[in-house]
Amino acid sequence: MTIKKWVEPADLNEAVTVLNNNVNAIIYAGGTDILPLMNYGLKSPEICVSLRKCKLLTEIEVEENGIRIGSMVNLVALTEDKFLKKTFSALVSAAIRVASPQIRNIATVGGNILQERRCKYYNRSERWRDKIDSCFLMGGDRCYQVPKSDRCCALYYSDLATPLMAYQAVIEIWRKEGLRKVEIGKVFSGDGTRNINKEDILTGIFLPLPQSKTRAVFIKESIRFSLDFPVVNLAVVNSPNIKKIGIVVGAMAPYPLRLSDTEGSFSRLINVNTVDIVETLTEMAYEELKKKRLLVSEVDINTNQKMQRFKGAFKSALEQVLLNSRNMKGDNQYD
Amino acid sequence: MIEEKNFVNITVNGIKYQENVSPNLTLLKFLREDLGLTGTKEGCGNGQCGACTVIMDGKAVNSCLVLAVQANGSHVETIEGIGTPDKLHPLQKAFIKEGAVQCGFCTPGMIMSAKVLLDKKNNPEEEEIREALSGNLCRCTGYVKIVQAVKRAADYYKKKKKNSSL
Repeated sequence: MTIKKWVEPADLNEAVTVLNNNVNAIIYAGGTDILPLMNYGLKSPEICVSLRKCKLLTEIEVEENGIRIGSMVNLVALTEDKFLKKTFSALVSAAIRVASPQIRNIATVGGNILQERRCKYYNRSERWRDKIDSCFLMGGDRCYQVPKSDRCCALYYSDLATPLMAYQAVIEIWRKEGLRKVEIGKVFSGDGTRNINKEDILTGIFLPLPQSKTRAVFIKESIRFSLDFPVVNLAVVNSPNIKKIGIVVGAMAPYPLRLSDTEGSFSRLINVNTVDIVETLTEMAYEELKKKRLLVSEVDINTNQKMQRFKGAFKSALEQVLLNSRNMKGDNQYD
Repeated sequence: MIEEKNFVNITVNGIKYQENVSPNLTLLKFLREDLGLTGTKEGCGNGQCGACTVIMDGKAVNSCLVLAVQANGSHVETIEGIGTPDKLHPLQKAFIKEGAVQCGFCTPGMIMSAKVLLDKKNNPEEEEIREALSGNLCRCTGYVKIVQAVKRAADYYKKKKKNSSL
């Protein structure tokens, strides 16, 4: 590893100054994503800026219109928060499925959202990578996962980003000029890069209170139940009071995919019986995902199998949110 | 750029250690190489196997994924701190009784993960035991015996609690 200096500023301005003044400075949150990358020689920061002393970033606060989660809150704290469990159950379900108990005790919400994209050719030891020419991520000119591509096609495997996007979360970004708030979907651009600079600090996530009777489900399909990245993950948020549904799918592209066409069709099916809605929307979502997904080569699974896993999971999620919303109370504690 | 060392204050098994450490030093290397506590094992070095599990401020962590500077101000418990050859911890006894040790490399990590669970709850369901151990791999695949051992230790705590309440 190449770290020469470890700093723990107590306020964000100090952190931004260090990041602005040093090209090789990075933000160090839990470290569970970046430390293996450093071990593999894929990242070589000289200065690590730890934000654990910035109080604003380490708390979960219930506000009038929603809840604010500091970016340095660790995943286990997310799974133990009573308000989140009651009101944003899909987010808590997602946090429970991340990696292992040991990793959830250290890994942070911000780190999970801004985790590196992964690829079976990139996330390898230096010695293994020495045998092949550099790919786009390594400063080279090719993508091994999609050989005809003119850019890196590594997939994004965050479990938290999927439900956060379905819940319409807003990201807070601190930069030299002050605090900026953006919808989480806008952080991810179409080419897989992030609309967040190296000097920017993700300080927190704001989740607006869902409508009354909202039901949400998160499902992660993976090869192993624990300690595994998703084959596919999805979040479905149904708000019957405003006749809206949110559908977001992860691990199928370099960013989370919103199935907006399927979402739009939902309001036209309101008077149809639930079984037919489930069948129709599942087919629509499958077709929409087929158009939007990125076909890449992964370890232990092919795209066809991924699509089938998606179909089964999506149908199950729809049944849960639709049947429950017609027969039961919603997730919202005010229901 | 010249490396700057950081002063850390880490309590390990009840003993306070104050040292200047490299920012590259992991908690695992600090325990094994600086303190000589080699009971904590290095497996994958990337947080995938759990062999290096220790308890930091009451929570199980992969010591290979924690930098020593991150552990500054923390209380760390390792396998050496929970029992001695003369006075084994109930979990250690249970692992021996149930034959839950094969090659033994994963055992310290398994025991530390199980200890966190039993410290919180002394009558866990099997599903909770499996969840608590889900970050620990056993290449000998001796999971059945390992789960039985944790159940046996839990039974010991239950009986102890019952007797003390009589």
